[in-house]
Amino acid sequence: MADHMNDAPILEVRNLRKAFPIKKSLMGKVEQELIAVDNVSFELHPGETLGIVGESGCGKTTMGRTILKLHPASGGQIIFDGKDITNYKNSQMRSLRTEMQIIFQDPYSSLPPRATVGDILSEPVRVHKIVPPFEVKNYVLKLMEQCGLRDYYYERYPHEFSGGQRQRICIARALSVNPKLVVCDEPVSALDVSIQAQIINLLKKLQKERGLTYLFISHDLSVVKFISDKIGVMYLGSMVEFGNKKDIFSNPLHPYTQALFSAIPNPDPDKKMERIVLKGDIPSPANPPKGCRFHTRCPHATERCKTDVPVYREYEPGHFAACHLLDT
Amino acid sequence: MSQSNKYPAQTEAVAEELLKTPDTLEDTEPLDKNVRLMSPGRMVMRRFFRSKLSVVGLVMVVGLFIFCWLGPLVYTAWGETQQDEGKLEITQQEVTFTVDGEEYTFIQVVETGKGVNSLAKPDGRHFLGTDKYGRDVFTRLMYGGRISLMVSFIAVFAITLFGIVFGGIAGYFGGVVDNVIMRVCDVLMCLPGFPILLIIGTLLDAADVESQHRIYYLMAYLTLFSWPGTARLVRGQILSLREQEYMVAAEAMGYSVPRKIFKHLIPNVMPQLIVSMTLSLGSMILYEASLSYLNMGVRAPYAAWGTMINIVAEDPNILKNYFNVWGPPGICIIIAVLGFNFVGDGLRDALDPKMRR
Repeated sequence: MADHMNDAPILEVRNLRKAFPIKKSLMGKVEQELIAVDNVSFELHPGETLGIVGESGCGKTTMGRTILKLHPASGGQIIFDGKDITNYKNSQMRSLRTEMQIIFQDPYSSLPPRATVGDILSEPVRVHKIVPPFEVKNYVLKLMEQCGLRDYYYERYPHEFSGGQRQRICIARALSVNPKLVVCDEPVSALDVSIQAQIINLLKKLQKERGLTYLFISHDLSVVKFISDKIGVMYLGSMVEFGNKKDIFSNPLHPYTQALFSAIPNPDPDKKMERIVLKGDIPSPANPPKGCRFHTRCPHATERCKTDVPVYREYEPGHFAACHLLDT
Repeated sequence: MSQSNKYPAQTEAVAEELLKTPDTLEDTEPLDKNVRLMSPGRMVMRRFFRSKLSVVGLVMVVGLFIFCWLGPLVYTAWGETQQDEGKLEITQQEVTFTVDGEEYTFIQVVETGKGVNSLAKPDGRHFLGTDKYGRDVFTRLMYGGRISLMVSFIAVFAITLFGIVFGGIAGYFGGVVDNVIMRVCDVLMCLPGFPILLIIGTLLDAADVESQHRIYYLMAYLTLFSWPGTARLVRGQILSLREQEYMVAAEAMGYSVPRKIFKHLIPNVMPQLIVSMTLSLGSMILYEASLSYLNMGVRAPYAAWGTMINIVAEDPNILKNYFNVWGPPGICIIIAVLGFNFVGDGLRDALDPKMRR
């Protein structure tokens, strides 16, 4: 997939910011807000997979949904396929929906309970007129086969399936409109480990067949390592480190990334684990710490980290990070 | 920052494991091809028919419908407003008398009618006897049922339609739209029903509205003042369904707003709606009967169950001695209301899997 590197980016995110109002004054003015995503920038090239990792509540999911414009962005730019879609209206987005899709974490609540698999998969095809009406059924059956679903599932209801199969249905639904970019929002974290492997292999296979670009959100580092070409590490709404998988794993720059990687369980019992244990909890995004957001838990924090916000910049080619320690 | 290649080894092993797992279908097979699980609809049917009470209710309701709509087609001896003029009795009398030695015989044919055959006791001619004006009670029961059932069905459908549209819009859009619709609902729910109905009844009198049409005006009013309940129900359901991930998926698919509301949200509100519809059918029948009883709805000579009972108000003697005149319509009202309530309760239990006993 490295040969795609020189193409124009399919997705470019510049200083993306998303804040939710939590307190409004009588006049409707926002008094306090929760900053879920703050100043996130990255580029994603066609055919690549970007893995986004981070703790629960660090804004991964919100970022994914904001990029798809399921939430309006509060600031920054989202450039998809050369078009700045940040201020697109819903009606303008409608035609773009076939190009970007999403797969959800929970395969139980993400399928409508009163529709058959056939209905679920053919509705988007019909609405977006992907193929002529008389070919819809064949198209859907072929898609089901590609996603590892038997043809006789067509008439069945979602409640008849296990989590892994439901996730296959979700994948098929996302792919039914032939998207270029798929946001995978923790697609395997609700599944058994054995099923996880199948779903990830399916995602890889489909990527190879269709040249898909994935934005793969997960908190499971081994999964991200397996599927991604690039990795972005998020902490409390901002991107603390971003780079090629190889660079990030061999040379993690940010102390948070180092701590995160040290927490990967090691299947080899003879190897001693050196864990960097972070103290305290993740601070509330409604009231983030001043300066570097990580300073409250960083083992190397200095006085400077408490006051100055570190700049997010390139330290190696294609390897970005935001940390004061790297400047000294 | 020189932790060279310290971490990869660990994940590498896990990744290797992942690679080894084949993407096969065999172990994802949940059931044999021939084993067919039931659709949600069929499961509801099964649970519904498992309960004896709901089956009894269904039989009562269906029985009434057959009685009211097919009955008059089969039993055509009497019409809705036809009065029994009484049997014509023809008597022949031979009168023989002698004039001038000659014997003359007259055959005198006398036709005698009893007049209007009112308040007849039940017999072969009138299964349930006749009312004060000689109209067949059994036939009127069937025609009256038509009016009572049809009017309440129309009203309930209209209520549900309004409820779905306004509740759906309020729940889906939220914000100002929601506030406006819900405040209108609050105001409508504050108004007292019956006093205003009485006023409207008087107004209809003054406007000289035909007696068959009065009931439709009154039920239209009832509809106008009953939809807020359904709208609230729909809105509440939609508020919770809207946050489900399949709705986010529908959003990500770029479906139009009407499609999202009417194809993705409303079908999931239908279970609760069906229950509330059946239960309000019962109360609508009662409303209709009360209105007709108060002589504001359907008026004689046209029949409705309430109108038929109204006759006791005219003549206490009927209340005392002629149960066959006012009893049957009362029983019909009870059967209809009970039947709809049984069906409604049965449906509610069948549609809510947590209620399973």
